[in-house]
Amino acid sequence: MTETRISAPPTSPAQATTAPAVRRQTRRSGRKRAHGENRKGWLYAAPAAALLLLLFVAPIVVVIIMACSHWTLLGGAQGNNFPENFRHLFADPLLPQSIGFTLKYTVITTVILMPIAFGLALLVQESRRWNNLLRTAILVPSALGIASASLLFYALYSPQVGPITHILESLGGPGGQSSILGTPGGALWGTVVLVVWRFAGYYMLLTMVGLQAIPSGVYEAARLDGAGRWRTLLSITLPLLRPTIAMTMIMSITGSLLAFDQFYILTKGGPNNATMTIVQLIYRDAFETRKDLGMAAALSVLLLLALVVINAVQLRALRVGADEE
Amino acid sequence: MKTSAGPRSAYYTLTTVMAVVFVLPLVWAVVSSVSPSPGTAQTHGFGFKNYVTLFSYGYGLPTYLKNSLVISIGATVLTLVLAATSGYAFARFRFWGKNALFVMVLSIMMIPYATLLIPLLVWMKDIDLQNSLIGVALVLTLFQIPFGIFMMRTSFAAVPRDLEEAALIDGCNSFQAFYRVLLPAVRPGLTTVGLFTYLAAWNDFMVSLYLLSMQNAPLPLALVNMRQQTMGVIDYGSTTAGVVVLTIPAVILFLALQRYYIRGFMSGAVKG
Repeated sequence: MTETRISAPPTSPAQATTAPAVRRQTRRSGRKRAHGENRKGWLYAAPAAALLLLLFVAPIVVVIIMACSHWTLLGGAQGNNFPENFRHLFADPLLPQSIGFTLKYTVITTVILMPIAFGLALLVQESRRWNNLLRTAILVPSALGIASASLLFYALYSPQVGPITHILESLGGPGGQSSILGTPGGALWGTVVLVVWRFAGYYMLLTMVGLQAIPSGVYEAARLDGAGRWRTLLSITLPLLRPTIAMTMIMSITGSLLAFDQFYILTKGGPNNATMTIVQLIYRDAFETRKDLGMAAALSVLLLLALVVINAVQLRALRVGADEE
Repeated sequence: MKTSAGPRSAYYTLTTVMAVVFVLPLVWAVVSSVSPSPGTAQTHGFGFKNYVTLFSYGYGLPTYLKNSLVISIGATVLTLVLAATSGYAFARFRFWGKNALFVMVLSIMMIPYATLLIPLLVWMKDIDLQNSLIGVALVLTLFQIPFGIFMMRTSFAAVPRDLEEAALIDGCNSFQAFYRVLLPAVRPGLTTVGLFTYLAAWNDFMVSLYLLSMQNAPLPLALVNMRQQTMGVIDYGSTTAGVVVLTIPAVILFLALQRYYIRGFMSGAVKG
């Protein structure tokens, strides 16, 4: 076994620079090795690349073609009609309304979710048995899908079986047989509560990972300098946690902009289309009112472009922030 | 510890209330599903009549559970195979187009589900995967491989090269070395990827809503449809029973493998 290892071609660059003759030889075998590596690398990457081509690249090409075609759910492709789909899209008063609602929902969710996740992370950060138990309890909703969590809250909010309506009634709410999902404000806040419940643990965990990356020496130095708890939080924890906060914020914003399941199940976009999100509008155009896949495709292409721009801006802001430190 | 008894008991009270807030809705679902309530199958006394209603709804609970299992297990196996092979490729080999491929894999995370699902409605027909459970498993696999490949690339990079070199010298070919020596070495990473994928697939609603008929519906889609079909008089009893059936396997799996779930976050792979 030892002999084979000696006769094997030198692999590290340090060995390769010993003598010209050896170097020439290794360059040749290096090229051969690179060729073998190329082949092997592709062999291992091929299955994933094939899936990417089949279900990612091809559909993106298809969606662009669809966006430029008259293409109905039942009638199929009926030829190019660019830019008709986009013109119809912008003529729909529901588009600005759903964009406005989606933005509002995104801001509310992110503004509520971020501080809660941060507070929870600070609270359970230290590894103790009680904290581990707490962490598990807060994380349990993460095991549920958004769809199952929405169904659960749909029942919780129902005046027939759920306790929420009665609790609100005793606090002076409308109560009776009307669900809180029946008013635009109730539907929005009911959904926000559901999403915060489902995702608080998830974002708590992300924040905790960031907290643990802060070296304990920094805290010790602050303590020696006589910094109190608040001072430490404001001058040390928050600034050093900035990359994590930025990342979780990007995730929350992107996720909320694409909200679908929770509104589809809890409100169906109602009452009166007051809680219609952009992704729901895509579904509605495709299956419910117009049954127009061309328009749905056009809107989803616009959504993709908007998301790419928003993410680029956010990532840029994040990188600029990192450079400053 | 200089914290006095007062703040400490306040701390325990506060944190206990918090824990209860997060767990209570789930406990409520379990209790409510067996409690008597007008407008449900269980009108008098406690019992499992709601589960009986759920069992025989539509094509039957067994059909929906089977659909859910085919999709979840299919997506998990596919994701594990693809994440392991290409994670290995990205960690160990230099090949033409490597960086472009990696950027493309990561860009999957940026695409809205809807932007892919609208063309897939048409495209799945062209590739003979229309209304197919395996087709849905493949789509879910696509959405899971950015995390999976990232995670497995990190896992393979942490394995010393000597391990596979020794296997190659002992006469294994590259694939045997990968399968017999390297895969066992990255088992924790595989468990994490498998857990994330299984939970995502088991809980998926949107992909199957777009791509599957009722006969091939997995449990979440069937439950949402069940609620809609009886519009006006919604049977909340069987809905909560359904939520319990859907939630319990996921929660058990999550609790059993929580360590691996948290590992997924530590790896830095869960990022956007």
